[in-house]
Amino acid sequence: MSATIEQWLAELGTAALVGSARRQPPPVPVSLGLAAGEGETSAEHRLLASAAVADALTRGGARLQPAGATIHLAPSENWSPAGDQATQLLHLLLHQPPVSKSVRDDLVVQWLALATLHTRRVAWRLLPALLDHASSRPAVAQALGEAIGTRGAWLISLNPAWAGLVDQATILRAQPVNEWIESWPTLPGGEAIAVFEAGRRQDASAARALLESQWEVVSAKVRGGALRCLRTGLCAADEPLLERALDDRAKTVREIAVSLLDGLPQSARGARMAVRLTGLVHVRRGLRTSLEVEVPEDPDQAGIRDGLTVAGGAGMQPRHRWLATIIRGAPLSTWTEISGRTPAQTLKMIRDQDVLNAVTATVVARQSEEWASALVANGSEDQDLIALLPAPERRARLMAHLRGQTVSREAWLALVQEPGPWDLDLGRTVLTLLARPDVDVWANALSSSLPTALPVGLAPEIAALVRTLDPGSTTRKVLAETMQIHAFRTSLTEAFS
Amino acid sequence: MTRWTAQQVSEVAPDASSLTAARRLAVHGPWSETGTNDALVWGQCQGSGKSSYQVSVDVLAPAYRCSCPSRKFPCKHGLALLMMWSEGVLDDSGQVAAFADEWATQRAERATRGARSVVSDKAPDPAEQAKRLEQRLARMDAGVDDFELWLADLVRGGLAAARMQPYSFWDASAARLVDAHLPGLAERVREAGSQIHAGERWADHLLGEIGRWWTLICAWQTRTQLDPDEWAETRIAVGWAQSSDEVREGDIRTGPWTVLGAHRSDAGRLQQQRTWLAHDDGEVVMVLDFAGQGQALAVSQLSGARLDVELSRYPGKAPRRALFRSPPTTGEPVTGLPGRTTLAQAHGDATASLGLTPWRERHAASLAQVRVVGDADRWWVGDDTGAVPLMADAPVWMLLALSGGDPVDLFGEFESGAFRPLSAWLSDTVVAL
Repeated sequence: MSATIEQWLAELGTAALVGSARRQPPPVPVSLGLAAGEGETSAEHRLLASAAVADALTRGGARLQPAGATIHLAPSENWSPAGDQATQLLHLLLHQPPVSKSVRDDLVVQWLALATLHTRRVAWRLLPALLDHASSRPAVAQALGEAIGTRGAWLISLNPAWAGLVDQATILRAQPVNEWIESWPTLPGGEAIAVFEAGRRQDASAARALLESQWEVVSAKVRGGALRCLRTGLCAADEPLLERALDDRAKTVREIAVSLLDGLPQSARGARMAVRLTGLVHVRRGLRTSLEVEVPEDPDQAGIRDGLTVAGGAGMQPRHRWLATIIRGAPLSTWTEISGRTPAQTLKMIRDQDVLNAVTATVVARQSEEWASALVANGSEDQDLIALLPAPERRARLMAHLRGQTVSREAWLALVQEPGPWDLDLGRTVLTLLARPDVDVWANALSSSLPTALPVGLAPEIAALVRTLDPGSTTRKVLAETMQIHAFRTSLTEAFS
Repeated sequence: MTRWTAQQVSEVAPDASSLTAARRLAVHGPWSETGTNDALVWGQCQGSGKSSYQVSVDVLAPAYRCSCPSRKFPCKHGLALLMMWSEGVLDDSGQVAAFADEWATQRAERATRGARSVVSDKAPDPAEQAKRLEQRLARMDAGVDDFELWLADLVRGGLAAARMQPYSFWDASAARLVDAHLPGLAERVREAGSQIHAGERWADHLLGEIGRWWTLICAWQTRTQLDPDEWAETRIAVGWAQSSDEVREGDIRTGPWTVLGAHRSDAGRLQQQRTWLAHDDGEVVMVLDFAGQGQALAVSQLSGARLDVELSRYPGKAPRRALFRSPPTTGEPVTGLPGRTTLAQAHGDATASLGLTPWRERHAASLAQVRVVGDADRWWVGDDTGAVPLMADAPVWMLLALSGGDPVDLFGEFESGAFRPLSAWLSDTVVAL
């Protein structure tokens, strides 16, 4: 636009602002060759005609802008897109979820896992909705992986709103190992522990070596926090550092070392605890041979170093607590070495309930299947122990309980915790139970596990049961949703096969 | 009848919760007596109580009927039935269920009765009709003259003074325009009144708007000298709609018509849907649909579809408004964007059409191979000839997901100096945006 016209537009704007009564509108520039406003006698009509010209000039004279900053192009895809049916299913999950919200996320995760398995990626047009969906759901975000293709990763790099989809650990995984190790000593406390945790997961021995080299330099808070991270991938190689930590200046660090060494019964501390335990347990032969367990005397310096401290812990005499600490620290094999019998026989010889409780806690902490079986055979109903039993044994126990005349609360709780998928036998037993009246409260407790646990093969029986149930009942609702999820899961598997 | 896509089903839903509820019902479990034929989809849905609901949908109209007490329209049962139909799981071989048949017959009877009553109205005394038209024009003339005076007062006092006025100043003027049968002009005045405190450049915007009102006043006052198309444009701008019955029998053009893109907007009480279509020779038209609260908008057409349908065109300059004379049937989809051209050319065409249709706010544009460029919060589409900003609410991430930063064909609208993309034309598919 020429300078004359720019100037005219500015003058016209001023006249319009203050009004034609106070300022005459400027005449339309001759160069435009327009007759606008000619013959109009009043100033306001000339202003109105000029406004029309100005509008035509600004709208019609608008130019294209020079192209702005270009963005780097998306790299080409490695995987081909998922098929039409699979794409349609993901579209449904994102836009018209056929199931409740929690189950929907599971199914999205499952979709992504199937896609990854078959090296197929999400169709481009579903990426924005999927990334939006994932950005507020960590479980979905973690499952994105390679299924979003290079296009998805490229989009994430462009949109700050999706930055959270790339977590600390992913960044670490993408970096060479040495990089975080070099910067670690300079990080502030809280961040240092978080990065160490991720680093330990990535390379356990490099992380331990780093902590060993920095042990004297970092603060007690970081020593303790990082030491606690050694629980991930704890192994015999960690022992020297833990042994060193038993002599630490900070009490919290010493306590963490003690609790971690409980997980290493083959360590030197474990052996020391075994010696202490052996000194306390005596075989008493008689009509029924039993194991008599004494409480320990006041500990010496070495005992205090190994965790036999006086501090804290209400409700228990210090000596009883020391006994429990010794049991938790010693290898379980100490007991069979003393008795010369199998675990099951050994347990029968222990009369003291406090001792049995400490042994139970040790077995749960060490995840020992053999000792768990022995304890359950000895009459323990502890849920944590039952969860350690071999699957067939655990199922058989559960079935026996569920088939009884009355089903105990414990049996229901065990059922809620029983991981799926169940076999047809257990599935049928559960359906028979659910047909009883007044089980709504348990159906509700089972609502999140039933869809994954009940085998798809039972679909006709589930449908038959649903028809007989009261329309308003929770059981019916839960089973109807189970059917729906089964149907969806079946089509999901078909879509990817 | 072509089955709707899942997208089309979602679009007729009154809200998101209905969709969710419907999705849960869209399984065989609760349904019986389902079926479909060329026009109807029907079924009985077991409700939460003892009774079951009878659901019928006329997918051509579209119209919905359900015996449930829900006030939503369509209700979750209707939506669920459509979802199943859309997935192709309904039987299309059987007899129409009695309840659906009865409803369809009632509707057909009502439609004939309606048509008859229109026909009976259609034969008024020509002298009476002419007199009514004369009265209407006199009222409109008076309204325009009154508006001219109001406008002259406004510029005499200045825009700064007008900005100090309360909203009722604009609203009262608009109300007088509505009384004078000038609702289109009234809408512009209300809009200007509500925008007067928005943005730093309010004075420039208002001055431009006032200039447009002035040209409209001048056009109205010289209407005897306008050619028929100019007169039609003037009528559209002041809001004097041509009756659709008049148009339906008027200027007809047979297809196939290619769907370029569509836009839905929800301006308070009124939902609007505009669908742009192109003929094989390049003629572009726009079909406008409206629906009030509780009403269902016409089904959206799939971008890229070729419709075998006759269109009746409203008078006016190209691209003209049009209406479907019958429900469209879908032929083979096309993938090449008709009329695609450079950004400079499309922008030039839009500018040139300003001279012919000065009161139109948006112009259709088929852009060939444009890239999305920009960064976090400012985005453009551009090619070698230049760039234009994207509308603030444009689906930028979808565009980037589809294109990966490479050039892509886009159909959309220029409006207020920005571009609103409506469809993306990829090598193998067309995606509505």
